[in-house]
Amino acid sequence: MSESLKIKSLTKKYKKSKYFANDDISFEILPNKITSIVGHNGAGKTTLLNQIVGSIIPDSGDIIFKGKSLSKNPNFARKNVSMMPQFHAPLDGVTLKQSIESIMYIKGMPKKDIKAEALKIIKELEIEEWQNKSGDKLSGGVGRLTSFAMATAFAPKIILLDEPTNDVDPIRRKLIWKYLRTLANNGHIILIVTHNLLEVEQYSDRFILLNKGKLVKDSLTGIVENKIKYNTLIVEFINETNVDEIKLPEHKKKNYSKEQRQLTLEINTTNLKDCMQWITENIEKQTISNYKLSPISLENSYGGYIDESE
Amino acid sequence: MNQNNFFRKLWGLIKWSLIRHKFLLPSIIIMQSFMSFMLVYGIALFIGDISDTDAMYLATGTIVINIISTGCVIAVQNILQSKQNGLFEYQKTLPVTRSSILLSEIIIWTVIGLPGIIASIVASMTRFDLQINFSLLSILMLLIVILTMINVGFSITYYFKPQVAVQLTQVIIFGSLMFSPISFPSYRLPNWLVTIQEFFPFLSSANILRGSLFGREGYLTPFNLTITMTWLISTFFLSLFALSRRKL
Repeated sequence: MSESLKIKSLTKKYKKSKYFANDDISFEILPNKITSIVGHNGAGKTTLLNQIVGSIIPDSGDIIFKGKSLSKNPNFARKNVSMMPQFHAPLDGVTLKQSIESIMYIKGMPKKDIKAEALKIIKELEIEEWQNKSGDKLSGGVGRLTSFAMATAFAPKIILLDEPTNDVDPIRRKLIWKYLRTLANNGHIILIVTHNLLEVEQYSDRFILLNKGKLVKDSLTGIVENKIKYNTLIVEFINETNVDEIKLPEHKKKNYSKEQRQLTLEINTTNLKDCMQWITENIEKQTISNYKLSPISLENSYGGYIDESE
Repeated sequence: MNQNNFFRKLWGLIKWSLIRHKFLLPSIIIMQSFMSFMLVYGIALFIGDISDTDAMYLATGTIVINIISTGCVIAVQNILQSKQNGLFEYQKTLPVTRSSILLSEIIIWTVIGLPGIIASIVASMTRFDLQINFSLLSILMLLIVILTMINVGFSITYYFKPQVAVQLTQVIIFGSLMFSPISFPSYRLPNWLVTIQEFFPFLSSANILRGSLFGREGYLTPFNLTITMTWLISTFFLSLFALSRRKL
């Protein structure tokens, strides 16, 4: 029996909406991988998660896991899917530790293991100092970490996370992704909704871009797949420069900020040699003070997949 | 799901809820108990000379108003809050059955309601020197009334918009207190108003308590029991349906 999660021609349109929340979406998510779903607000990302966990009924299409429909069997869906909601889980009146322990108990973890396992995840996320603090007194970031711990503790095979790193500090963001990598390595199917493209690029194995309910891009995040074609060159000029009057390396796009004296060029990989030469010449001529050349990021290429004006 | 698993998850939900409400619960219990004494002693001041019948009406009225305020007002406000803070939707994503979510809430609100009810009984006994008929039947009837009011409250929360639900609870509590023959005999109201109220659960609940707890004849009738049980069963299944309903 396949352990992957299959989304088949999933379509959903809310009664009062003119647009499709999900429009004939199909893809398969494999275990051991972290898959991110990106897209504008209202692209249908959260609707997709809610259909997987069984709280929203699709208009057509199906979601299959272990050969069984999650859409038609909400009890089976809840048994196999753990979800971290967009707004963190309700924590009022319960301490961080009690929240995690309560959910572990409800999920069916053996009683004797609960305290040790809760402490383990608290330590891994480095939130020990708040473990006995009531949820309503926690900051947004720590609340989110608690919610993350509740979703991933004693988790079933499929883990859905809606914007898990929002409000979380940079150090603990890394811990979240590290923890998810461990879970993925242990065979979980991890699906994350996020707006943070840098994190997607850095930590996800694959990203799925939704726009107006449609799947517009489904790609691996590896360098071979996305980064080889174009590069970004950022150059800072020493003096005010009219970039239209000077010779520039061959480029696809150009953007110049007069205030910062900063020029950004999108360079085709085949022109990198000429580009390096242009940089060297200008350093020698002392016309540029600094430069940065890097493969084009998902953030920079994002607009190309959808209508940038949206 | 095997039975042990069901009860474990049910207990898990109850325990989680009790922890969440650890500060709210004592205050509700104190307030409800305080309200019981205020109703018994306060309304008695309005009336002046109180006959045995008046005392019995006031005593049952106090108990029923207490149950209504727990099930149809405080529980409603609490669940509305859980809908607003996301708990309601969050619980629905957990690997628990809808019936265990509903049962856990029913058990919690029954437990919360009991001290106030006991306070009403104690207040009535001390103020009016009334004999309370404690028997299996009267305890069963008391339980049926509590469960009915809680399920009516839940249905209001699940089917009405928050603003409407809050207004409805106000209408129920003040209507029951002022214009329902719960705390006074039916003959003081126009017949048409009594007839309408006979089909709502509040008057029938008060009547079955008068018949069971106070041993008065002519109140614990099949009609009153049928009306109360019909409301209990229908609102239970309505609540269960609301919890099981998925978004279209």
